[in-house]
Amino acid sequence: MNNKRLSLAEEAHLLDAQLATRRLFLKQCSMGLGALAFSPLINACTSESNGSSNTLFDPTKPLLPKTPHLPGKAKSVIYLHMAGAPSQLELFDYKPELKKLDGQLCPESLLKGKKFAFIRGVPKMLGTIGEFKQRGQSGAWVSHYMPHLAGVADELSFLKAVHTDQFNHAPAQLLMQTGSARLGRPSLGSWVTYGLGSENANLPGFVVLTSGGQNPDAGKSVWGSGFLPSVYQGVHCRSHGEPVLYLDNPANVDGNMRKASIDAINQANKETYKEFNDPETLSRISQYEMAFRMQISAPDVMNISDEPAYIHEMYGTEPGKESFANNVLLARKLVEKGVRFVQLFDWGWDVHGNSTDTSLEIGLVNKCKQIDKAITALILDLKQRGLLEETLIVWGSEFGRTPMQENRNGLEMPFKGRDHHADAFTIWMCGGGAKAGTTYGETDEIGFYPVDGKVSVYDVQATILHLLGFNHETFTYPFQGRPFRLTDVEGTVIKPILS
Amino acid sequence: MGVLHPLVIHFPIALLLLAFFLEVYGLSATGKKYKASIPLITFLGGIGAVFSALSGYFLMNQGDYEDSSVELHRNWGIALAIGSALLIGLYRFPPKIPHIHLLGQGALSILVLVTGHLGGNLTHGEDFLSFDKPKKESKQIAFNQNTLVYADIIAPIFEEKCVACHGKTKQKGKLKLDQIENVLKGGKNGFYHGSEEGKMALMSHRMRLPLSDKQHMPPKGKTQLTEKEIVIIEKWLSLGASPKLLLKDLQLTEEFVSASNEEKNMAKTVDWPSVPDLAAVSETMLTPLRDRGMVVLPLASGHPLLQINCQSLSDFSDKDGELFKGLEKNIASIRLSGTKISDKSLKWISGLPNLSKLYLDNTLITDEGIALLKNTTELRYLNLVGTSITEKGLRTLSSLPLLKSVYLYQSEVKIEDMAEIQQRMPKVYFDLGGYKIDTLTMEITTEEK
Repeated sequence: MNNKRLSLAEEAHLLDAQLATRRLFLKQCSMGLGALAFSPLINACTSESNGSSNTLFDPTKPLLPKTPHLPGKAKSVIYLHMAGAPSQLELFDYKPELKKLDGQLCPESLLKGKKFAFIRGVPKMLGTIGEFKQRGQSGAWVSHYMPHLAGVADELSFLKAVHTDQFNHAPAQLLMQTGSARLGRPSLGSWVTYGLGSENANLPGFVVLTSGGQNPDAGKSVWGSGFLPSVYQGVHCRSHGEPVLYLDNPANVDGNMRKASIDAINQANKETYKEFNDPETLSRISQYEMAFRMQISAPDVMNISDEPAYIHEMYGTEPGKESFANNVLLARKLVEKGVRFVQLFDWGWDVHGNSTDTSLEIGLVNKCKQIDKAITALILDLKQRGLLEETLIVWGSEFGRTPMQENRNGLEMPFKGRDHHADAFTIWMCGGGAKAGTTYGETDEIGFYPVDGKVSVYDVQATILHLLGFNHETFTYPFQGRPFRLTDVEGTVIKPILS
Repeated sequence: MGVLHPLVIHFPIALLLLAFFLEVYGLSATGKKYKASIPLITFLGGIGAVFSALSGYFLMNQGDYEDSSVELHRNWGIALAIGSALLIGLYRFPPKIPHIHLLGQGALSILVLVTGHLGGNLTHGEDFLSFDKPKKESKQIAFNQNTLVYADIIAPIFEEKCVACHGKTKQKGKLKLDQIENVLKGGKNGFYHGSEEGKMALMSHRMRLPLSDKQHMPPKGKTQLTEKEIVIIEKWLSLGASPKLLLKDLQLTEEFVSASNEEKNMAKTVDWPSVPDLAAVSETMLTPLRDRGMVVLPLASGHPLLQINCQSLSDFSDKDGELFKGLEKNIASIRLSGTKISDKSLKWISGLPNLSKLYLDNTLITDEGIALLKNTTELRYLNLVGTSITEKGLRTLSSLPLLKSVYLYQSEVKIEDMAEIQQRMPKVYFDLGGYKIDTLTMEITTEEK
């Protein structure tokens, strides 16, 4: 090499010239041929033993209803995710001992080696503010924050000692919904629609409803399809106004014309598919067709204002406004019509105590008011329609709250609040094969660590899949040369809460 | 030193057999040129044999093996070590006997094969090298409360998952689980864990340790005990581990017992009829139904029973019942919600012997139709929401033995009639719906200051 500096054009020219040399060709061949020879070997390892999982995806009919491994009890899921993490110590996990310790400094032994999101130094213990009672025949503890839900406590099965390993919202939400704290994995709803398809060809199989305000911290990835074909990602409906935009034909366009134009687009797409063979093109075609069918069926299903007045009274819905209750009622309508997975996200549960809205005394009370009656109505409404047996309702969040009062930056907070807590929190399930009136798991006297029935996020996911009829260990999708699972290498079905 | 035995033995096996091979090969013209290497190979193999014998002796003294079976292996091993030493001598000072080296190598190879085989039996089990292994018939006993816990439940578990290492031929940690007396004796650490006071069997302790723990049993990588097996063994041990204990003495819940049975007779669930003789339906038979727009799926992959959903077919009417001809036995669930069927359809529906779930909500059916359901004895779930059913129709359901839930929201059934109906069918859950939720305020009780 000479030391003369090459201009950009000269360098490009040189590279171009190199490409034509025999030396470079042979050099690249030596590695390239090896890789070429190796690739079928890799495929031989995966496709042979797991060939069946790949056939689940039929690009022309991606949402065709499919059969699970085992007879499942649940046919659909309504997942109520309280983004931000409600305080289990105020709602369900009764700790009288913690009340006695209120205001005392937290013992060093609890803090040793622990990391918190905001707590610094030595915080004070914070007694529970909830007034707890044992409810129903099952004697489940539900506090005064949830007076309506307390009335249906016998329908619920509580997991009191769930733990996660993430204490920040975004990664914890991802872990809960996709089985990995990092981006890129398919969400629970995507897995389920991939595995079971949808029983209603005119509606999406996986619908996401958010109740206004903020989207979850982890963004849309919590309902993303990851490496699964994108047709399985959640369809996010608008929380305000029309749930799905552009369902009405534009002025001067009638149904036939619309059909003709979609047919033309699909014809063009089919040509593209013939040329490039990208399965995503087929997904696109099926989405156009679905959109056309949705024009007919969706306005009806998505419109909650047609429901009778006593149903609105029951749910506490106000059609036209952004609210969690509206979404809950919509979820029931969707499930009734055969939608496989309805994912609700509510926001504003991050009760740190740094403002009235995030205080345990005021903010949490208001949040509970927004969901308590609606969720109770959902349970009873599904029940009276004979659908609770086959609809699994999951209520939970990404983690729980500490038994200590938050002392952000070592300062005293204006309101009572708690920091993020990953070691123990409460999730409940209802219907769909979950055993009614059970409580599984127990935390220590102050609700810091699980002492019995400790379950992980993966165990919860494995249980949900089990109720739908999947064996979570063999339900895989081949990606990057190996089969992937929602629960990765973890997860045990929580048998004590199965009916 | 003992742990090296399984490693070292492979050298003499390979080298001595190679030496014999070269000795035979050397008889031919092409093989002659290799003859010079035979003394060296024999020497190395011989050293290996001596080392193997020594390390084997130490391993034996650690006492994980039954004396009688290991004795034979030991004797052959010693013979092999001495034999190989002699053979080395024969190469160094060759006597004037024709083919003496070939004969010597042949004899030594026999020693190698026999010793190796005996050793293999010790580590891998007696029947390791039998090619047509008798398939173990897993006993399909349905458990009942009088099942003998040890003989019928625990012994087979030990047999399957433990005795390979804790049995007659091999006794890791001096523990034998082949006979009840030996179970009670325990291993070198005895039967109990820690002090006598806690009275916890060491076995229970070991089973419950986390898998990552070195002392966890069965060891990581071997077939693990299931949670149920652990619970049964634990209870049995805590009650004194007597061979006479019956399943009822363990006081397991009824559910636990039936669940264990369920695992035995796979896929027999309470939700669906058991149909052991029914074959799965071929896909081609389902095509006409699917072309009609129905969702037709087996309960699980390969399952003979079908669930059928006609919910989205608003034009589905009585005459569509003909489509199900030939599939009567396979239909376990049929959803006709919101279709145009009338009482006439109940005729073909009542001819479905395995029907377990029936959705007739928001249809035109009446009491007359419901009365036809008398013979669907597998029916468990009946949805009559939004129909004109009255208590008269409900009465006719009393002949259904398995009926579990009936949904009657927005039907003509009156709440005042329900007391009597419920009395007739005490096991059935009737839901009349119409729930109202009074708006409650939070019952905050202020504490006394």
